[in-house]
Amino acid sequence: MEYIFYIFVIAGIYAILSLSLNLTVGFTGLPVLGHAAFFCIGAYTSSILALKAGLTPWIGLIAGACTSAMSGAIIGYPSLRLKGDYLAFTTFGLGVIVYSVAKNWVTLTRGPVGLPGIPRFTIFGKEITEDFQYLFLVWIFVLTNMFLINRLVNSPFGRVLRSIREDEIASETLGKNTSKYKLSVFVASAFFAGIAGSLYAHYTTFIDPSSFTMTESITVLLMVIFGGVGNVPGSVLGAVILVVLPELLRFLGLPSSIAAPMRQMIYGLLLVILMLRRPQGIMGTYKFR
Amino acid sequence: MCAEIVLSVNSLVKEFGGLRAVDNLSFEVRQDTITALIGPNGSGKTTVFNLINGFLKPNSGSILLQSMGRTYELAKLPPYKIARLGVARTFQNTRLFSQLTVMENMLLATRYDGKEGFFAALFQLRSIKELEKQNRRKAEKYLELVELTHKKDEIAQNLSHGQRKLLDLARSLATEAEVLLLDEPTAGIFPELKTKVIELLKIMKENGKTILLIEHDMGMVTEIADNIVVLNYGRKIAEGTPEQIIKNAEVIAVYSGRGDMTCLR
Repeated sequence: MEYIFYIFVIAGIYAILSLSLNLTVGFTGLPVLGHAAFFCIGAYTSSILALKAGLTPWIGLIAGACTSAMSGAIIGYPSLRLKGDYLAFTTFGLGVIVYSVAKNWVTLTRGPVGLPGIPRFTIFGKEITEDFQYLFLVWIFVLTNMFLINRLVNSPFGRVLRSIREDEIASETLGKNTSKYKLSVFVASAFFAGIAGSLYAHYTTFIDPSSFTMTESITVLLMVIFGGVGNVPGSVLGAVILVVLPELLRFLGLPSSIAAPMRQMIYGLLLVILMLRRPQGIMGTYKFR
Repeated sequence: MCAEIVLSVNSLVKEFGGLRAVDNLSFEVRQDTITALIGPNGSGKTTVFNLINGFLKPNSGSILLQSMGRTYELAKLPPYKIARLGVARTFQNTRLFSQLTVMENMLLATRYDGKEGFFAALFQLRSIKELEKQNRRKAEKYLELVELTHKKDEIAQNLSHGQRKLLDLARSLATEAEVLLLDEPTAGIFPELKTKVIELLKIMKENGKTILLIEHDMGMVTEIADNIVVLNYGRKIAEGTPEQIIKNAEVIAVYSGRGDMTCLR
């Protein structure tokens, strides 16, 4: 039972990540390749504040989200003023940089050794230790996130985002300051990813750079495409499927040396099938571009 | 022809590498008139549009817009600001939001004045709903004008070429801009629809819109334009009323030399 709780906690954290990535990639059509960077910044900020400054994880959560949003603004401001795919390169670059900082700034992050003993969240002075309690906590965040993102996208603001995805030039011709829209949605996306990072760190109580590689960014991107580009429940579904599915493989009794590569192969295979049969994703209405 | 000048283009130069796409061009567009920009393919007409609406910045020269009693230098402004000053444009190859519905396309053109920002959406201000309703009514009004009301929930990419052209036109009207830059609004649409567009342009002019038009169909241009500017290799080679242009020897030479203007009587 604990094991199932664990899987769904992780699925929830990934759901927040894919929801936030869907804001940029799905609704606005921005090519973001380094989403794990924001996940990483949120996780490390929150953990370091808790371990070195002794702050409660709740403050760490907010600080992590804000630091993540700020780094989003710094990287987004220059690259979002340009049209085209520059953002793909800058976010890719950010992913690599953040990973190497986490790995090499040993005095702060302890490098590849990782940060152990991260305190867990507390509610009214009581530490949340049970997995099922954590399950509740994470999924409350998922639902809040869904609610907020739904609000954003089903509004005049969301309509402008979709118009940018369809044709940025036309959107500008109609008087929309597209750079501003792109920046605000990019920063919001980084903010939510930072929250996911903090939730992850205080749940696993141990983080190291290997959880924030480029592969992680691609996995989250797959979840978005899988569930449906520009679809809110789709992102959650995509995350749950892609987290649960590889776990099911364990029950096949394969040796772990085969199981790990199998996971990647199954991702690939599923994606190929999906793109052939349903290019808009399981719940999506828009084609991925 | 004594109406006020709304848009004046002064000694405009635009170079692409060594090519002078627009060469020392000056002309004026007066209020409540239709000005046609004509010329052979590649003579720089669309470049002029791109300069006016801010997609391109000129190498030299100025573009002055009179709006609400003030003069603005468009050459220094980004496209979205120019649009907000009341300059709308359509494209030769329509640029619709193809995976959005016709209605959404229209609503994106209507004014929200700061109500479509991030925080307005997050806190769902009540005033948005009211505004949304008003804008929907406005959008419907313009859709009716181009007879696309029955298509309002259709995805834009499912429209035919002619319908796309009409939607593009309706969208530019929904911005409530005073100045409309129309890039071949009747290109590739069938004759019956064409007369409809011509009627529409006349109605728009009567309703106080100032129109700058790129058009190849000389029959249409002579019918509706008050003033014609003829471009060749980015230079203005003639300007005047339709009667004057038709008689202008240089214009005839340019067109007949290229075998391009068989419709010039």
